[in-house]
Amino acid sequence: MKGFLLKHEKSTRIFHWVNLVVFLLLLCSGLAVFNKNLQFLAMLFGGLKNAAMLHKYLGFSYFIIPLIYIALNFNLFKKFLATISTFDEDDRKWFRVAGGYLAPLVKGDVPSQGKYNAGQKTLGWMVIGFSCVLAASGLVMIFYQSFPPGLVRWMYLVHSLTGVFLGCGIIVHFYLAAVNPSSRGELKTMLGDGYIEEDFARHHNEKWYKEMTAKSK
Amino acid sequence: MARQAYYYDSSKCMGCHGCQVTCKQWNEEKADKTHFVDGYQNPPKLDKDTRMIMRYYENFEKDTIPQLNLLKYQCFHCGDPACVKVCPSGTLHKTASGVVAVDWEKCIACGYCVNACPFNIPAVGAHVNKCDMCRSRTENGSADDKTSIPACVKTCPAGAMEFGDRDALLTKAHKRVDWLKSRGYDQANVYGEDILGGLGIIPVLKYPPTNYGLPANPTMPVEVTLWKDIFNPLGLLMMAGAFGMTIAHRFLTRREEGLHKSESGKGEGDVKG
Repeated sequence: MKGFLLKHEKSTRIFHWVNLVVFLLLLCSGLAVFNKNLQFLAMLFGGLKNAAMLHKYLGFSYFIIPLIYIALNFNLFKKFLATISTFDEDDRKWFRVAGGYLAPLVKGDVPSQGKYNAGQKTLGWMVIGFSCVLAASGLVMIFYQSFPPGLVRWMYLVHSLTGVFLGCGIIVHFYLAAVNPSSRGELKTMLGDGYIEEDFARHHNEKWYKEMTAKSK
Repeated sequence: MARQAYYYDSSKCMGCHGCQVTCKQWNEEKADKTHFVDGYQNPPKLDKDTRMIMRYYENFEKDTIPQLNLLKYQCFHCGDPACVKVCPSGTLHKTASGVVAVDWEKCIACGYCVNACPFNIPAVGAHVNKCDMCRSRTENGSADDKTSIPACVKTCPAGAMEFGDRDALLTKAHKRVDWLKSRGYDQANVYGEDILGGLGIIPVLKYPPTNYGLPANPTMPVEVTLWKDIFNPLGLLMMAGAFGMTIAHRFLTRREEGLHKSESGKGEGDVKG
């Protein structure tokens, strides 16, 4: 496509969709069990009993699905990890100006960014790290009979802490990707056909744009 | 309503298993074929079909006074129950008379209560199972034929148990302890008068609680307090905060966009003017 750059591969987009649905179901059912004021969310599943049951069994797919994706697309995953691992001066500067999203409060020029900006890199690590913690603590919670009660009690606390933090992160992620006018142009790169306008990329991901266009020339 | 409780006098108990049998019978719970593992205790622990067991702590070591310590073991109906605090479905709740009751049809079998309980007493199969101080009897029975007292209390042939008002039973328990002390049992004590908000079962013991497999001073686990009393409301606030901040951001940036437009408009006007 002329004037467009492919940002996310098809397999990545499918994985994102699957993970999106699984995560939302887990978040809603988890919150229903977590806090009595959010118990109305259990109505989505037809009662708290079903919500708990779904949360328990869907939890397994929450870490099996990413493993399948990684196994099938190891090179993409490696590239992703390499991208989010590089953290240069521009990224630090990005944080100082909060990516320009808090424009009237935090002023300053937004430095040029790679394929992902510093915020997205942080979210990437947050999702990976917190998901691992959620999976580990969730396993302890399901098989609580095999662990000492003291450990299981701490896992209850850790599971709810990481779950709520990740939930908050995903709310911001959704907002910036789908609602906020200056950044929502990128929505279709993950949920749609995967392509991004060159103009948008030049503005938001200048380093990546230069890299991509240099390669094609 | 005054707090109900029952009194259990380990010094009068003769370990006949009568309460254990009648508990199963009244609550219509399945009895599995078991075998004696060590001493008289059988089955070895509380499970999804067993709300109550007799525990035997034997000490027949050489050159010591032989001991056979008996303990009727079931839910102790804490005044400040950790299981009720963690229960997400409202299955476990406290009644007006201070009984930690079970509404098992609501149970989602998450197992939180099993781990939160300082005694690890609730057992979870398809749903939670634990003593509810025979609510089916105490709330519906009549005093004339003793159908209003728990099955275990009614069946006790040794007179080791009594059901009724907690304060009255505490007085009785202390009297019994004084009597035991006068008979040479210097370590006699009433267990759990003040722990965990005051237990709803009042065991009179001849020796320190640890000789009966009981923790000397169980408390509400700190991680349960952190989880349910602090992080539960905080987590709700965080989710609401994250949601509210995005909405506020959208609203404010919309105004900001408008400001920029009008400012630039003014600027152009100035230049032109």
